[in-house]
Amino acid sequence: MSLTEEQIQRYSRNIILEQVGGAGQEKLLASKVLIVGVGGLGSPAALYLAAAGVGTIGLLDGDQVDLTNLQRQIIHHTADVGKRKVVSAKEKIEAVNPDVAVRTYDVWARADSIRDIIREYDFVIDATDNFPAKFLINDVCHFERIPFSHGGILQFEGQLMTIIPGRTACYRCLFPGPPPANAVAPCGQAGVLGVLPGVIGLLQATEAIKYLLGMGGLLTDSLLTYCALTMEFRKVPAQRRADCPLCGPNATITTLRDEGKVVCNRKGCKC
Amino acid sequence: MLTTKVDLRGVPCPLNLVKVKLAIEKTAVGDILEIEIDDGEPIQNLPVSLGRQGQEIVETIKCQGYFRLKVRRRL
Amino acid sequence: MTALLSRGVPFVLGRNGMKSLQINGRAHQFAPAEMPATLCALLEKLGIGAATVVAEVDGRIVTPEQFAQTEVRDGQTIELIKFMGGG
Ligand SMILES: [Zn+2]
Repeated sequence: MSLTEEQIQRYSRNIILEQVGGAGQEKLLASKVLIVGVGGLGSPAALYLAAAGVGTIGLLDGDQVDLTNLQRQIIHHTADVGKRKVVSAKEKIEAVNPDVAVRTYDVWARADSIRDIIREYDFVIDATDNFPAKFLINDVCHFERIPFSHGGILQFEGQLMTIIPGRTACYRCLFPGPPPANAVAPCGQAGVLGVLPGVIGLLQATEAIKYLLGMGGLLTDSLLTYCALTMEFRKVPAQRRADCPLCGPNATITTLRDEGKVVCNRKGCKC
Repeated sequence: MLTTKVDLRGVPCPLNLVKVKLAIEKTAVGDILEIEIDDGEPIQNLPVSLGRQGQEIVETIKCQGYFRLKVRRRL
Repeated sequence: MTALLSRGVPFVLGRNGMKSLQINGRAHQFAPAEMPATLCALLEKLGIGAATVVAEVDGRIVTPEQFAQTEVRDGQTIELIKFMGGG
C-alpha cells in the first residue's frame, strides 16, 4: 500500500512525527478498532480515530440518539435525535474522513453476539455505559486475546486502563465482579459533566493509536483516574492478581456469560 | 550505497518536509537522497528541519532559481 | 529508609502518637482512639458506600466482601477505587 497525494497532505502532521512516519500511517490505515458504545466516551474516540486515519472503525450500539445525549455525545447532532446511534456516527465519520471504512452493529453488547464481532478487530475501546457490558468486553477480550481500553465515568470523575490479555492486569483483577445492583447510580440518575467523557474517551483513543503503532508506554497494570473538580490525574498501580476469577491460574470464569441485564429498563432512564 | 532523486520544486513548506521524510523512509541508513527544492522558504527551513531530525546534509548546490541538496540518511 | 518513606512513616513519628494512613495519595491523621480498625470502619468514617469501591491496601486488592475482615494499620497506603460504569 502506498499513500496517495491526498493522504500525504491529510496525514502530514502524523507522518512528520519521527515515531509515526509513512510506515506508521500505513499501519493505522490497515488497522481495525471496535468502539463499543457510541455515547460520551465513544463519540470523541470515534471522531479522533477517524481523523487520524484508522482504516476500519467498528461501531456497536443498540440505542438511538436522544436529546439528553447531546450535552456530551458530540458525534450526534440535534438533527440526529431519533436516529440510530450507529447510523448517526457513521455519517459523521465518513464526513470527517472518507478513508475510513465504518462497520455498524446496531445491537446491545451481549455474550451471544459480541464474541464473533470482537475477534475481527485489532483493538477494542470499551465506551459502554453499564457494568454488565464492561465485564463482558473484558471477558471476551480475554478469551479472544484482543487488547482493549477500559473506560468509565461518574459525575466529575473518570478512569481508564489498558489491558493486554494474558500479559497485563485485567478489569477483573481490579474489580472481580460488578457492584450490587443500584449501588452505583447510572449517569442518567447521577449526572455527568459534559466535558468529562471527552477527556477520558480521548485518552482511550490515544492508547489505541499507541498500541497500533507500538510506540510509547501503554497504560497497562495501572488505572489512571481523573477528577475534573480537583484537576488531578492519579495512576494507581494494579497488578495481575493470582486469584483473579478470569485471568488467574485458578480462574472460575471459563465461559462467557452476561453479568445481569445489559439494557437499563428503568422507566425514563437514559443511562 | 544508493542515491535516490526527488524533485520537490514547487512543493511548499511543510509538505516538502513530509515528502522528504517519506522518501528517506524508503532508503536505507547510509543512502544518499538528492532533493531539489525552491529558493526562499524551502531552502531556509528544510536543511534545518532535516538536521533536527538527525539526518546529514552532505552537500548544498545552488542552481538556477533552486537548490540541490544531498542528504545522507543517518537514522 | 525508602521503604519507610513510601509507607508514610515520617508522618507518624513524633506526632503525639497520631496514627496515619495514606489514602488516595493524601495523608490522613487519626488520634489513636479515632483510628478505624477495619476497612469497613474507614469507609464509614469517610462517608463512602462500601459497595461503590474496591480497595488496594499496600498494593494488595481487597474486594468489598472482605472489607469487614480487613484490618487497617498505622502507616498503610490505601487506594479506594470507585466503580465507574458510565460511558
Ligand atoms: Zn484478571
